[in-house]
Amino acid sequence: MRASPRHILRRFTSIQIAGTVLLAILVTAGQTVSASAATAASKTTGSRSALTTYLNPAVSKKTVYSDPPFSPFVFTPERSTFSGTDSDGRLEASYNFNTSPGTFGWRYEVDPAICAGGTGATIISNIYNNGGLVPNTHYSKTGVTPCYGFHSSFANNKINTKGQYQLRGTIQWRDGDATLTLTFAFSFLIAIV
Amino acid sequence: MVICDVATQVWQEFAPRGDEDLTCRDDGIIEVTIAGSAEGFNIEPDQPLGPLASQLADRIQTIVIEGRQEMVPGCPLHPGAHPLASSVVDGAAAWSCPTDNGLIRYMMVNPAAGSSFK
Repeated sequence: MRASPRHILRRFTSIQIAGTVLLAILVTAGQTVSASAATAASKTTGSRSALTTYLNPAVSKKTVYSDPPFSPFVFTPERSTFSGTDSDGRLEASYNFNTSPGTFGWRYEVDPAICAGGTGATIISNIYNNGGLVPNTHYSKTGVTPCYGFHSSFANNKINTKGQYQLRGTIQWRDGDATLTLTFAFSFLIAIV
Repeated sequence: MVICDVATQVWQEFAPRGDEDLTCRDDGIIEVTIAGSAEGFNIEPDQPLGPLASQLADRIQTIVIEGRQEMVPGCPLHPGAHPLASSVVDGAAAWSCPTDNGLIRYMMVNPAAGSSFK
């Protein structure tokens, strides 16, 4: 049975997805976690993953942006979709090679056990290339429940085979007297092989 | 901001209702508010008017359809079957039937809005 996020002190697990993609999950709630703590946890296990999520009512948004580099998922014409689930939620992403420019789409849903009962969700997300903002990849949404399926899709010639990208999203919502912040980061490359 | 002028015109393609709104932020983010929810996005502004308007229409349409739970704008050739698809026909933003890409009508975007475009 899943523990309430407020009662989880810290958990770090790795999950094998589809035999190839590792998900590193750091769930922290009920206490403040620093970027250095998150980094230390990753280094401890040696896990490197495409998707990471962090849940903490008190954590600063800065935390996720100081992530260590993670092994990216590589979109190819033969493997153009990604799906990853962890205890925080589920991310699906795809890259359509048949449009010009290619179309990147993603969808993120917070795990129902975490978001149920929450209100007033807000998300802000962008895509970064080697840490720099990729123009015209912004997505924001307000006035929905945290269980909403956040999603965006766009054709953008700045997302191509030459970059090392990271989709970053920060979702914030109210749950009773608490304000929860969940951040996710998905590292990916585009390759034509 | 020219892109805001175009977005505002494209917004009229969806016959906005009283509680719906499109706003342009100073940072280039376009926000569409429908059914109490606001969604923001941005697109490449440095492109010809036709593709720009078509791309704006596509992004706005996705938000409107989800917010209203209606197929907007509906295809007159196939009522209830699917919405029209934004496209570019002869350089101009248009609505086409997605089944055969046939032109239904051009979008009502004032060419003057694109006078500063390439």
